[in-house]
Amino acid sequence: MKLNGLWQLPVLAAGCGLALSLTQVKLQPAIETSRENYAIHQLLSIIGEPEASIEQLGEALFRVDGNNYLFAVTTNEGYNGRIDLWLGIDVDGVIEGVRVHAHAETPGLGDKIDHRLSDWIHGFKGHSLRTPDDAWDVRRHGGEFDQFTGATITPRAVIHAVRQGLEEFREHQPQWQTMRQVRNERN
Amino acid sequence: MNETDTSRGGYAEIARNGLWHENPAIVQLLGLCPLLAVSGTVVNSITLGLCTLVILAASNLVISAIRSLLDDTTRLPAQIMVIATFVTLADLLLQAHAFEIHQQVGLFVALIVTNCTLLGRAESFARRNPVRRATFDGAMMGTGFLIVIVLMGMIREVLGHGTLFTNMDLIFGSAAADWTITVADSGFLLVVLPPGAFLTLGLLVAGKNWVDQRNDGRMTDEQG
Repeated sequence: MKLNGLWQLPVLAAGCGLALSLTQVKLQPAIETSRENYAIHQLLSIIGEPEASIEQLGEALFRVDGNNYLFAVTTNEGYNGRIDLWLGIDVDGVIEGVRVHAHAETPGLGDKIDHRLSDWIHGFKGHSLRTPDDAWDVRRHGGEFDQFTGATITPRAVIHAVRQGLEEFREHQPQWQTMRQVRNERN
Repeated sequence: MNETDTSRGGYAEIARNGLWHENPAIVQLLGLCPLLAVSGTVVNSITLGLCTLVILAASNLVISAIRSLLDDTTRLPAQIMVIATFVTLADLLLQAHAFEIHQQVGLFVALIVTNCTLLGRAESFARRNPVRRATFDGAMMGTGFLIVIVLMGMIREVLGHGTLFTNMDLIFGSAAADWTITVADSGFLLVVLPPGAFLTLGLLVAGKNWVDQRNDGRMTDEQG
């Protein structure tokens, strides 16, 4: 009954395609939920409270335990362009943690801003706008933060972005405080 | 691979071949990329080993079931299609139910499709054997691979990190969170790096050959 492979492959391909599509449709909600939980877990690990309750206020703005905020800050001052950061700030405007979320800095030099490669990023913890303006720089420029051997542009970009994030927080905190959770409004 | 007639021999022989004499990892040296890259910790090893085991058994089953419909021109594309389908299914399932471990080994789960063990078993065994034998062969070859990759994971985790069974809760649920055994505060970095993977595998291959030689020697002694 063989027709020299004229029908076997198309039929098999259709069967495989069908099996995959059905599985994909069935699993998509579970995958979305897992992805979201994972992302939230990653975010909460920034402030070291993986069990805290979290509400999403905007695309890149979360409220944690009612008072503290996690939000995204972006700078284009990186040695290689854009650096995306997450800032965790408590109700008094004190930094609880910073994470670099995406960057294109030079491997081995500027990439020490990544928390997996160095502890540098943890140096922001406890800082706030009470930290004097001059201190928001690398040591070589009279600031309080370490530069990296062979890379000062990258850490400076991050330092400035973090400070800008604090200013943004001061400006928006009252407004954020009254914001409702996005998902509740959508429902 | 020796071109023996795979349609003969009982289930015990299939099991012995998969687990020892033709072990895909330490005898045929197939699927080295995932074996070397993912065996840094036990949890990663178990995940990839189990995925490989299930995919290998399932693809052998289907390929054996459709073997009479295929001829020489359609055989290879059909086999690859079946394998790729199961790999994609495994990838989706992992994403849905074990997202965090998928973040770590996901790339290598997708790469199982290029693991020569799968196409090798399809070609040399599944297409010449009835469904039950083919599935059993896939399961045994998969188990052989699983044992070796988990063994490598254990050796490399103990020597490289000084721990054993960290993060097992990622696959076994929160009950497994305290399974971690700390042997030392730190380990040899070399063992974690790629050269360490090669060295560990080399030692396992040597160990297997040593056991074989010792057994051969004993047999000739007894005969002589």
